[in-house]
Amino acid sequence: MTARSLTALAVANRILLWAVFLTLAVICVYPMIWLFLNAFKTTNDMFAATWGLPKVWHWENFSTAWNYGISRYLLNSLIVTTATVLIELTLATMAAYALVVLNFRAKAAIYTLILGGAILPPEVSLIPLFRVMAETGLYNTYFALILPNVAFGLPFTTFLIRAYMTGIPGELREAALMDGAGEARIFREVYLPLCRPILASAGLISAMRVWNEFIFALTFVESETVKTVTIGVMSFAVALRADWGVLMAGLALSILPILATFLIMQRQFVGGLTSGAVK
Amino acid sequence: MAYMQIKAIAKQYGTYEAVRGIDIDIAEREFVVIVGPSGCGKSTLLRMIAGLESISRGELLIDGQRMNDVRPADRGIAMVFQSYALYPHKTVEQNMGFALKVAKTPKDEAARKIARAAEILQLGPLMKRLPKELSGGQRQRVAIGRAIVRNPKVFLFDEPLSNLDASLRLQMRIELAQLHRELQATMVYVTHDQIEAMTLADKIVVLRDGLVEQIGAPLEIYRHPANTFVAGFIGSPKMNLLKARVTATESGTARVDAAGLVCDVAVDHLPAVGAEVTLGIRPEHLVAGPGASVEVQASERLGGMTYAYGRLADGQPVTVQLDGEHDFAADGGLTVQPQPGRAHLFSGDSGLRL
Repeated sequence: MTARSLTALAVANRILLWAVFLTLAVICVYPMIWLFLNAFKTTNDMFAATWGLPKVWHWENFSTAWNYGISRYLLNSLIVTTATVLIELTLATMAAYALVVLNFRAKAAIYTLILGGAILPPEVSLIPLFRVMAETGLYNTYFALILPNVAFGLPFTTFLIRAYMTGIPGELREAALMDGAGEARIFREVYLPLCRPILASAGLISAMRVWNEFIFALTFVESETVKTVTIGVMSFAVALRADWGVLMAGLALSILPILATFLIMQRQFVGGLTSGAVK
Repeated sequence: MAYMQIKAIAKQYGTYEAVRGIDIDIAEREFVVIVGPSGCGKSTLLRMIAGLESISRGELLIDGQRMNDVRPADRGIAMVFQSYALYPHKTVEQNMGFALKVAKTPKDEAARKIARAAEILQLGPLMKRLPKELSGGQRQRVAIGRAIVRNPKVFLFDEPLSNLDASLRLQMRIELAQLHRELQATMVYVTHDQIEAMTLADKIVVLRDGLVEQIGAPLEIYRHPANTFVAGFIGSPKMNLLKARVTATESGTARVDAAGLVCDVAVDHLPAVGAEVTLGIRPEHLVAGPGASVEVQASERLGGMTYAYGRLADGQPVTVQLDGEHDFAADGGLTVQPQPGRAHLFSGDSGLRL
């Protein structure tokens, strides 16, 4: 092949790649643009020009949606997501440390068992979990959402953090042992600070999952005071079918926190995914 | 400072025995270098002393106290790792102070100890830096500083210079020797580099396949290697080990001939005339002169000296070190003879010194 045809091939490849990425980006981004554009319109404006800019920017749509109850749903989602992420990261980090650093019987079997949890779809356990929630009095409480979310998130989070920890040189632990530190201190003062990048990405991945979680939120809570935003906006949509602008503003508000978090931390998000994939 | 006794120590991994019963006595303030090729068990031995590996058999005594089951931190030992093992998220000061913090040393006392170590190692301006902001040599110094602040009875070094470039290695070697003099500490140092062993050690322990081949002062080992392995391992370039035949014997002396290289060697165990033996002669102990002819195949001219790599008449490889510059193509070949009293004789079968 001549140098010129090689260059042409490289250019063609590049164009193809960009075309694929651009298509994917459009598919992902256009619903969001549409949502945010229409959140500022009245229902009539929206049907008159779905893709046009609003003639008048109706900022009040957001305050109406906020006062309609979305604020409560957002707060509930925030509580459930924060608690889940904190508990999940704590447990997964400790489990990963034990799996990487300590030598104990049946270590491989325990790790396989933990990973096995990732295979189980949440739907399979809905009915047993529902009964457990009902019998333990957890039904319709934050814990009814936090506990199953932690349980179903742990396998992947443990997998991610464990993969990252295997890259931390064992000699650091040995040096700390020589320095007189015990396992708890080595975990706290050596491993945890070094795991900050993976904790950020695992936390973000977990937060996105929990924020968007639907099945548990639909099944294990019914009170307005505990409902999270995914279920909240559903009842919101039913009530506000006549006022699309406010509905869109409510939906926009419901995704804003997690969207903002993702945009701020997307580097960690990608880093976490690749560190899990490569190791 | 402390003395240490290693008594018949062994390390078993399943059916594989990495260390097979080693005895070493280490006196107070002694600098002992354990040397051997990769996989000889030297690092395993050091890790057993440190308490990072359990001892399968035998006893480790420090100042007469059995240490086999004592926690690493309670053995009074500090270790400098090959990779330095500095905590990447802690500053130099925090790295050096970590052990003191764990031991709940009062802050002013800790600060004093850290300052003293920093002064010895000239780390003063680097105290607030992170390890990634340091050069290899500086990291090495911090690792040593971390050991010094603990004021240990024994310092352990696991190939501490192997990650440094040649010039830095030389500089650090000199600094380590100075440090040993200053601290008057007992030090055990593991390396595969025989030059480090020769230059640093009060006592060298040569290991092979988990066993001690020879223990002795550097020059003692250089002058009287116990067997062909030690003879070939200690000294650079390697000692020539040539197949030879005993042509005559006289009280305490054997005359041998290796493809025309004839010499008289003083021996403790007189071999039989006609026996096949191994003649050991270092490249620096061969001199140009009438004797065996060497077909030179390659040479390295270093200015002050020249190394000639060639073959004897029977094809055995031989290395010769000559003073000054030589051009063997122009000189028309080389004939060599051994310096009197410098050759060694080993059994042709067991490889042991005769």
